[in-house]
Amino acid sequence: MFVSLNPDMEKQNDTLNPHQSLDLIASMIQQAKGNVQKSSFYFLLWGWTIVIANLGVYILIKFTDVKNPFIMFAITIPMAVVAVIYNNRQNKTEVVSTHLDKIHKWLWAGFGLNCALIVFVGKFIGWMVNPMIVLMCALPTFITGVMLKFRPLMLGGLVFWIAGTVLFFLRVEEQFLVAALAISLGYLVPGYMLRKSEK
Amino acid sequence: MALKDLDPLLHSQLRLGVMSLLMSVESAEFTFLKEKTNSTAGNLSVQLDKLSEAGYITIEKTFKGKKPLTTCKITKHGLKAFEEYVNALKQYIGK
Repeated sequence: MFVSLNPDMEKQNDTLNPHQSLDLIASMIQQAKGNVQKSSFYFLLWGWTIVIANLGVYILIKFTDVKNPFIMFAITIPMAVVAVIYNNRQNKTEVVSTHLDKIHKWLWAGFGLNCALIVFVGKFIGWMVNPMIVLMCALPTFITGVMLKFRPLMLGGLVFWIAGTVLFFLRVEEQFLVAALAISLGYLVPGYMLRKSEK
Repeated sequence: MALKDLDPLLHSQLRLGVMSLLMSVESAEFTFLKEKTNSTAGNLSVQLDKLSEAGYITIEKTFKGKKPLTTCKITKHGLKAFEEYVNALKQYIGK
């Protein structure tokens, strides 16, 4: 706080000397810090969505004759709509938006675009879509952890780097089971911890 | 250089406080600025208008439901003026 200055800043030029000016600038920058918006909602929303989709595909492959078990991933479409609606509502209630918020938003939007493109070109990468997405998930998760100074998310990123690599070596149905486990560890566990810390 | 050479628009507690806050964020609402600078709505409004007239900030007025919403953002011109002001301060202190 700017205790050495006028506490209410109502006075004008008369008392401000260069040292006070620098103190004021430093204290205001300090005030604006640490305003990264709450993001646990997204980790929990996407965590549960992807875990359910992966487990769903695994169960359909293992125990049924369904022709296209991958249809389970269609649940990501309504969830994307939910995420957009939630994001718009959040934007309306936030009184400040920091540069970090902007970077955070575009980092994940870019990741979303990457996911869509990977699904689109799936045929050309031998349908290794799941390992690719889990591997790509590592970077935005890790960076979000760095931005929020939240170690569990950084560890979540590490889980995705390891799991994403391991997935390439597994059979298709096993990939879905391990991906569900990785998402639980990399998204849901840090997501719940983050939600607790946001309260 | 003399103290009087400092940009008079920035060399005022409330305006400098506002500019320092806006330097650090992407955008901020009137209520955020009012709370952080601990100023009155009337004075803050006057000072914001002065900064806006100088082209240092942009003020966007919209509505959140039925409530008016004022969002402020620093401009490139404002950023440059702020940097020049800080450099001038450094020179002055370094003398």
